[in-house]
Amino acid sequence: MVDLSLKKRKFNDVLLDYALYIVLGAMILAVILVDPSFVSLKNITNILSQASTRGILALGVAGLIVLQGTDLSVGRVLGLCAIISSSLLQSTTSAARMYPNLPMLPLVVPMAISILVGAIFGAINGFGVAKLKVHAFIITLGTQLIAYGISCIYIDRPPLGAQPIANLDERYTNFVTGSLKLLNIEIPYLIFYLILVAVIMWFVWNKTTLGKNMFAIGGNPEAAAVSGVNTAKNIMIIFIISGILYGLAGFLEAGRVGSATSNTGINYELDAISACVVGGVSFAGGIGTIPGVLIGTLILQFINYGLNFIGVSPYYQYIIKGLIIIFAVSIDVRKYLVKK
Amino acid sequence: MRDGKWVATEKAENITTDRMIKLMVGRDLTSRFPPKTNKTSDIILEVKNLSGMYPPTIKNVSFELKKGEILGIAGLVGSRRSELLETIFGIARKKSGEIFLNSERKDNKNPRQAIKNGFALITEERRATGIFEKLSVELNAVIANIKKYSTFGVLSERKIKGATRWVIDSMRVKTPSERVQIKTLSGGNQQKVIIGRWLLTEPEILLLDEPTRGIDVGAKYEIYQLIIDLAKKNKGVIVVSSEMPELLGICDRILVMSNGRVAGIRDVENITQEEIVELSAKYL
Repeated sequence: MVDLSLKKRKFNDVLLDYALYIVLGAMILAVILVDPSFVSLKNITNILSQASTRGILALGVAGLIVLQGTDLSVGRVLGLCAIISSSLLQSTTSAARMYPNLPMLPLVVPMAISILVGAIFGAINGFGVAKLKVHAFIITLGTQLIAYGISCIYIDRPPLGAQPIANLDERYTNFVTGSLKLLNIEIPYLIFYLILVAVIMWFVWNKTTLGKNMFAIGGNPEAAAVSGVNTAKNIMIIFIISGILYGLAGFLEAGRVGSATSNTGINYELDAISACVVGGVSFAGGIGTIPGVLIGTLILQFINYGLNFIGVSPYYQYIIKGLIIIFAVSIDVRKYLVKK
Repeated sequence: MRDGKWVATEKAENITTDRMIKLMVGRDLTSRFPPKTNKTSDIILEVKNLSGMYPPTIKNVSFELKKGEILGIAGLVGSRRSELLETIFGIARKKSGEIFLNSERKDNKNPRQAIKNGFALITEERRATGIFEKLSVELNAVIANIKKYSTFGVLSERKIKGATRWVIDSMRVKTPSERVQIKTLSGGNQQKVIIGRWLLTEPEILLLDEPTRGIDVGAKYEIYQLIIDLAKKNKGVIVVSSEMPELLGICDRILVMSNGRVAGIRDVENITQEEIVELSAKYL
């Protein structure tokens, strides 16, 4: 009798642990059933390369969620970085260059500038949370507006007004959208960039004092302070790292899309945050893994792409995405309650 | 029950307290406290006229602590005993006063500085300010001096493993592995991990705030033993407790606080529970 109820409880726990993946798996399966041609090499490499910039963003925001924070400025900061990178890398033969007299820059220069801009925004967010003690939600709500404002001013060219920045330098688009041919399979460079970032972040999270301090602060900020963890410094560094990743992702995203406007990156924070939540990064703080974030990103990108592929209207897609976030978080909360 | 296993069922009228404790702990606990084998020597810590900045806080607290001594701090709830420890440790800001460690002035502005200066604080609220519930026993053990296990910020797995092993073995922590979340351990074992965490920082002065609260009889005895062993190693130990028999059982001297002030300091042989209560009400 006792054993039976124990087994049942365990079964429910397991169900709870995997409920999200079961539902998301079912959605992917449904897409495949509706249109079996979804499973093709081309689609999969497309999904992977789209997931790459999103994945880099998600890896940035994941650390902030582990710190019991969040980041609403992801998309707008990425947008600003995308605009800046692309404005510095327009093809010299293009007629409508933003800086007509700009010589051909080595790719690393705009990339560094983009990363620097991201890092500055990360530092501002971090300063707000660590020193001003403003909740991450509020400070990043502010900085996302600031980033958007700067983007609009930067891109505005009176009397013409804001123009999309296009005609990008070929070196740039090749660097981003090129691919490596391995055994007849074209693997986009973007995937390698994501893997590189993921490996570095995995190292930071698991093998450095910074990573351990991050989990300690996220798990229990008071206990961390008593144990001598410099909470303000560590929070600042984690925010700056997130900004660096947004800057890198911004540089890659403009190259991937081939242009940038003041709308580039809009709502990307939602994708990044939901990827983290789906991947098991808990909003309660102190819990999360790098592979989890990657899996979360991939699953959501599969669904995103799949829904587009079978022709679901974008409006319905918004509703579905919203439901996934609510579902994911409510399961996360349940887990926490059960284990208490 | 003991360690998740059924031990015995006996008629209520037939069982004595001693018998019950024996069954719970698995050995005789005829004495609730281990023998006091520590010896005091020179003065290690001097606190002079210490006052806190923000109320509720302490006022003009002065005392001395010797090497190898266990000083108990008694008082009513709200007599600011925890605030005294927090002010010494640099969590609460001090307004005036001086702290000398081995005759050298050491004013701790924050816990980081306190740890560097050789202080350790085991807080009263184990769950709120002690353990990291969701994190591993390992991280809970090494967090207070994690820098020691790293070179340029990169951690040495081997050093961390070694330190965790030391905590588990020397504190006799019962845990299935060092990777499990600390919240899966019993309160006593969690507390032992926290004590181990602080011993890894090699402190001179240990400040313990209600170290046996919410811990069962057997683990309490082990923690008393740990405290006495620390004193034997010439550390200075300060224990805040609301359990008077506990203070009388393990301390050398008892400082009684009343309303944020020192109401009296007595050798443990010259004080009774009644006197402690009387002193506790001195400044009310």
